[in-house]
Amino acid sequence: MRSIKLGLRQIIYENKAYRRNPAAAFFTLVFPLLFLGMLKIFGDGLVEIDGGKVTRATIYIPMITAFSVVSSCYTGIAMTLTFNRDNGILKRMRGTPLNLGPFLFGKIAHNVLISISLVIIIFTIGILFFEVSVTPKTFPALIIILILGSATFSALGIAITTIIPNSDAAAPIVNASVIPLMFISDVFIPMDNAPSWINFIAQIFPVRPFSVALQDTYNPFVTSWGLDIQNILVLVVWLSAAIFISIKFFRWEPSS
Amino acid sequence: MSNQKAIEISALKKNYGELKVLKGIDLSILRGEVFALLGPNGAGKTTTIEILEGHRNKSSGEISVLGFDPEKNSTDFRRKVGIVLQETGVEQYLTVSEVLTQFSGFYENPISIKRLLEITGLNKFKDQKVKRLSGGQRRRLDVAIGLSGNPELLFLDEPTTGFDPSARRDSWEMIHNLRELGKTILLTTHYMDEAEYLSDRIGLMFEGTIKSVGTLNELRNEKNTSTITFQSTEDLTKLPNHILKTLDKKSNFYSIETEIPNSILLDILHWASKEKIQLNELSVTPKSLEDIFLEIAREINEIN
Repeated sequence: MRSIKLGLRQIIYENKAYRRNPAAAFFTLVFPLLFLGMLKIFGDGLVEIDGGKVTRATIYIPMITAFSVVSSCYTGIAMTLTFNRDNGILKRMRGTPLNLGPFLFGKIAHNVLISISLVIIIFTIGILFFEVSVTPKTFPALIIILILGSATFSALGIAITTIIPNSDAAAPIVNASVIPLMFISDVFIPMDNAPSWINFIAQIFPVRPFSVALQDTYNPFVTSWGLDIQNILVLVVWLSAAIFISIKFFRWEPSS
Repeated sequence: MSNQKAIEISALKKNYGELKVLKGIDLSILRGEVFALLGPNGAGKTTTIEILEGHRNKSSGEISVLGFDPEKNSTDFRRKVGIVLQETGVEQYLTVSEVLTQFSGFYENPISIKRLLEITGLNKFKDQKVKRLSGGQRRRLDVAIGLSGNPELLFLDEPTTGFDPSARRDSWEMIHNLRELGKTILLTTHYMDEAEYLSDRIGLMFEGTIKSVGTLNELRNEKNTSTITFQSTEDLTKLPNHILKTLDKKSNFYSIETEIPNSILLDILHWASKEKIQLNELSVTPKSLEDIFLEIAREINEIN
């Protein structure tokens, strides 16, 4: 009970610290909005997907959603956690009765809340300015994918800190690990014409299954309720591996 | 009797690969005592204190802190100790009272925020963001956080390093006041005046070992010499031989280091009055902690 209470309290402080750092808060929001702006300017026309033709926005809105969740969960947690570790906040926390569980819970929950707000903003903009939305049939799938995706990328954000030596190395390692993946994973550009070996690699890593799963929920021609079990499975495997690595190799101090 | 002791250490060793950082430390610290580990940088003070805090694992030896093995780092242990590390971060964008409220919330019987602000003199800054605090204020906040759980034992690793003289004085007052709360305090410092002013007992630490432990008086008695100093412009070459050979001269200032200040002083005065020689600014001073410290450091250098 006490751990739950402490974990919930941590969210409040994480959130306060975040809101008072305008630069960080600004950049989380500005990139998705920038992409949406570009989509409005350059994104006319129809594209062919499974089942028929849709507006370009129908695939780009879920792609931007995927980008936002990956950025705020994976990149966001990996960066703040490494900085907290470097400047001694983690070491200080370790000397108090606050356990690792509630501490990380606070961090994850805070970032998940950020990504939920982004998803809501993008979802709303999609309806208002691009006339794209999910059908009631696939809406539950959208929620499931978002929860699973947020959890997976948060856990991966913690896991990657175990190989980041210090905060100077954080940005290069985090970006190098995720941006190339985004390029081959249906986040920036559709990968329908890519060589099969690239698609194979992309399908093993978690970004593409997440992005594609989100796109499926926006696909008006989809016949089922919009969940591809294979995508879910890949995310679950990564989630489990990330939790295992995080618990086993978590470091409270930067490596010297 | 062991519950009289807050900390017990025996044969504590710590190696980093080939490097022997702690070479076998034995030490007991009593409950309610303020104990200072004094030594130069690199003596192993921080390693010792961080092992006791549970931040580092020992290589060998036995330690007990409030009856706990710090290596297990149990939640119960962390409830009872307050840790002020040498370098630690705080969320920059939270205010002083928000940070204290956050940390107090981790404990079951915390000290009230009002009292914490009062003890550490941070009341004026309670609504200020951590980002905007000065170095001295930040360090006070560190101490306030360390105290927030009302710990039985407080670790202070170099509480005033990098302070200007007035900030140091203020911090000393604050730490002095903690004594009245009945806390056991283990502090490390490389300032001798700090150890002298703040602590009941001092452990002199050099190169991974504790060379001497005791109250300031006990340490003085161990290196039991005093210094007689005076000034004179007259010819002193006729002084009795046993005095003359220990006499140290710097322009008109003379000093004699001796283990028997009474009899030496008596001999000097007797001789001076007989020869009608004037000795000015005559004084006898006991050895300062600094002298003891430098002496041990010199001995170690000679051995090496």
